[in-house]
Amino acid sequence: MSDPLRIALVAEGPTDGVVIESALRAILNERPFVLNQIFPAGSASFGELGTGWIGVYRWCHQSALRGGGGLAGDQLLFLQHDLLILHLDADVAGFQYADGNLTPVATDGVLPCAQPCPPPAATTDRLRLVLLNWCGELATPSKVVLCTPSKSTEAWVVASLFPQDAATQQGIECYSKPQSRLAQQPVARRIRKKTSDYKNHAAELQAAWPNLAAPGALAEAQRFEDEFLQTVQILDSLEI
Amino acid sequence: MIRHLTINGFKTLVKLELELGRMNVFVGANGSGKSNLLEAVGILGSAAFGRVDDETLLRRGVRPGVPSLYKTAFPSKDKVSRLQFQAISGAGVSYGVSLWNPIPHPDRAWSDYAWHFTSELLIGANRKVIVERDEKSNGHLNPSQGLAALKTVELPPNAPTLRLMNQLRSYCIHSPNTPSLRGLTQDLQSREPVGLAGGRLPEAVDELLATARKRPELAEAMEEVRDLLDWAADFSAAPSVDVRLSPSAARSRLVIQFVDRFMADGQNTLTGYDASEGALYILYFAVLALHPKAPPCLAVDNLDQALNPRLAQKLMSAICSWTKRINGGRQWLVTAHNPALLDGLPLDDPETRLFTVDRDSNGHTVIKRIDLEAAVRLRPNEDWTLSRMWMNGLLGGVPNV
Repeated sequence: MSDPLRIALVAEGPTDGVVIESALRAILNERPFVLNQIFPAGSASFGELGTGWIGVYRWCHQSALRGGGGLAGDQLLFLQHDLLILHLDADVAGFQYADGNLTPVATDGVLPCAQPCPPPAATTDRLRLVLLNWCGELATPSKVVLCTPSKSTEAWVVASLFPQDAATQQGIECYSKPQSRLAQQPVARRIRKKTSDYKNHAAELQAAWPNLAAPGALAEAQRFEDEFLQTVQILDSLEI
Repeated sequence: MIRHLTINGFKTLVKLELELGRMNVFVGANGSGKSNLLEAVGILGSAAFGRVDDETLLRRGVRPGVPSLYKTAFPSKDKVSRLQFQAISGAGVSYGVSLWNPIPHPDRAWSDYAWHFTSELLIGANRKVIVERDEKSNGHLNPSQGLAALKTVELPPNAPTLRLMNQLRSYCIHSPNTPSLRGLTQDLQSREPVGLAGGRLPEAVDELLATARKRPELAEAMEEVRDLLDWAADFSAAPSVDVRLSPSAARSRLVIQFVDRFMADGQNTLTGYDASEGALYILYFAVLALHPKAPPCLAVDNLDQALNPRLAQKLMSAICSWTKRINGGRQWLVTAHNPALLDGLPLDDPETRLFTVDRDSNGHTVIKRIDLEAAVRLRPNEDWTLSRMWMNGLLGGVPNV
């Protein structure tokens, strides 16, 4: 394993990258790492893959193709990276492929796949399988960590920055549009879903992460942290 | 040739070790620390020269700064008390130096703007210690003067130790700009064969063409230079009094002259003032790679500026070939941003090395060599060029924007 740890990130958008990086700083404590957000990227002129869940869908298919059928075989990806974090907001479970002008192939999992929330895992369990199917996989490959915030990454932002918000108190993971809470705060505290705003609050996001991932707090945050640490532990042990 | 490089405590390079080849290409986001790396070698070069101050640093293309800007400025746990630099040559010669500049209260000795040598270690190819200086033995020595530099006067001319010291001393960072290449502005770091910004290019081209008439391998290389200039049938350096020039143009003794292959005879000569800037950059890098007086070890910051991507790719390929086969081989450290340039690297040459430069979660610069052989072996097909891999983020060295 590299020193520092080299992590590739495929996320729906750049703001998700800021939140996940803050979480990683908290999870890895002082262990240094290089986070390389490899997606979204591409050509603005030709719009190669797009952004959002449609972009993640296309990136997964491209990676599977590169890997000879599955993400696990994408050795080019893992040449310079120790592991991959694959992010998808859980609200994607409510979409149909047609919503993204996508024509699913036979191996793609079924969308929509949303289930009643709570519990959030009822939906995210299904969505994770769909995400893996996009990547040509049936189970999570050993160097991959899935990150599926319920309903979206903004749930983690709201819970971190506005722990007293009514939506947070009621259960932000089942709140249908958590991003709406970002603006519905006192003027001095409200933020926009912008990379610059998120970066300005990166230290707060990092500081709040242990509360989010604590047992009984946000289930998907806890799952992400557990699976990430488990993956790193396995990779570390392979070095010995 | 520098084979192993160690840098501790310089700017973002908190702790860095590198194994270098002959051609070393560094790619990474803006602000990732690529130029810092080139400058660190420049500081070691100044130390090998015997004095580290603004003058010797500027001479090597290192940006002048105040002590607090040179030293790493990360939170206290990362603070370093010394700036350490070491180079080991292929012959096993090692030169290491530890430098100090007092922060925040420069003492009197600092008032002459020279860095202090706190330790120096020069070890010859036979593992014999030639110079050893540490804080204990430093008491009676002038802290601003390098001891190893003085000791080299005793070394025989072809000694591997002297070779490494001379390579370090002559190392400098080239960063050409168009006005200097055209001769419109003075190159503040002028030298033979060409200045760091591009000055003296006509004279250097003239010398190179003259030398090529006597050396077949250079003549062949000059043909390759012509091949890179698709619009020009030929080029030369001519006395400025003999060519048509605007009376407003600054005149040096010689000017570069190109023959345009599309224009009518008699009206088909263009000077360096009028010609495509890309052609001037091509000639500049050809001089650095081919001229007998060019440094044996040098750096180029932003090799790809002003060049069409396909031309950058071809130029990279040519430079790799020239630095390998002409003048006994030369070592280059290069930074670049143009992905196409990567596709000009000879993937089967282990002396060609590609590094990605990133900042880790602490802000420290980290550099990783890309295993080119593995990258080629693992790619699904030839459509996955190095440039495509880089642009798709698979190699690292890209900003998170």
